[in-house]
Amino acid sequence: MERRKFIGLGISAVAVAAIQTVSKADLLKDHSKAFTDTTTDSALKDLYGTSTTTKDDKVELKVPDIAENGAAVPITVSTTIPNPKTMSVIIDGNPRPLAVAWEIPEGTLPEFSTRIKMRKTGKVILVVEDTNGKLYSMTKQVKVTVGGCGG
Amino acid sequence: MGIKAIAKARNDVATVKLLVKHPMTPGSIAGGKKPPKYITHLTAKAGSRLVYDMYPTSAISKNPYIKFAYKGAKKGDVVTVEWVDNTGATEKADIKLK
Repeated sequence: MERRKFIGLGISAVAVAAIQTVSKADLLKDHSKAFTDTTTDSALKDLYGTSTTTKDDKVELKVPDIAENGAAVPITVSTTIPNPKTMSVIIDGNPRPLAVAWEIPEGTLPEFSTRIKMRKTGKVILVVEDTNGKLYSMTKQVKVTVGGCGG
Repeated sequence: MGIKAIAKARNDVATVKLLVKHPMTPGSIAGGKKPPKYITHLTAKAGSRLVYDMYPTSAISKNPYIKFAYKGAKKGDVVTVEWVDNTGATEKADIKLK
């Protein structure tokens, strides 16, 4: 009986170890503070080491001008900048502005779509980092009719 | 929980659309009473190759919709989607490209 219990314990330990792999990524581990920062400036600094980005037309941010429902605002981010490494979306008016970040694996197209929550009218900023660490950005103003950060 | 997917391969490019069932609750982060519960990392792998690497927060809408595409795919390939949330919960699903 005791021996069986011990074997069972071993199996659950292995299962825990396997689960860990998904959370062990660099971006979150090395820049986790950026995800809890409460201002756009500090989020950019903690994610990239600087809050200075260069506005560039090769960074494409598709969001509606007016969002009737702030709880689900469709967003598509893409870029034609050579060798993009990461992308991040910052929502200036949210309690925690850094909304989402991506690492871009080789062979993956630098174009992602999802839906975001916006508490109020404000700026949405897309930042693209290339493999040289250079930062490019595009900013759009989105008017929010009904805010969507409750719950 | 549950991951719904539409995934297809055309001319070497896979297009994957996902609907992930998850509350994505900001809770106390946005001044609410509930404890936060949201996905912090979502990945997709084609075999051992990482093809999608997303770090969401509670600012991603409830039941996240996610779309991405990658090169080097063919019909019948299996994409494994996996997420972990801030409470340590995880889910994994295998998706076959049509």
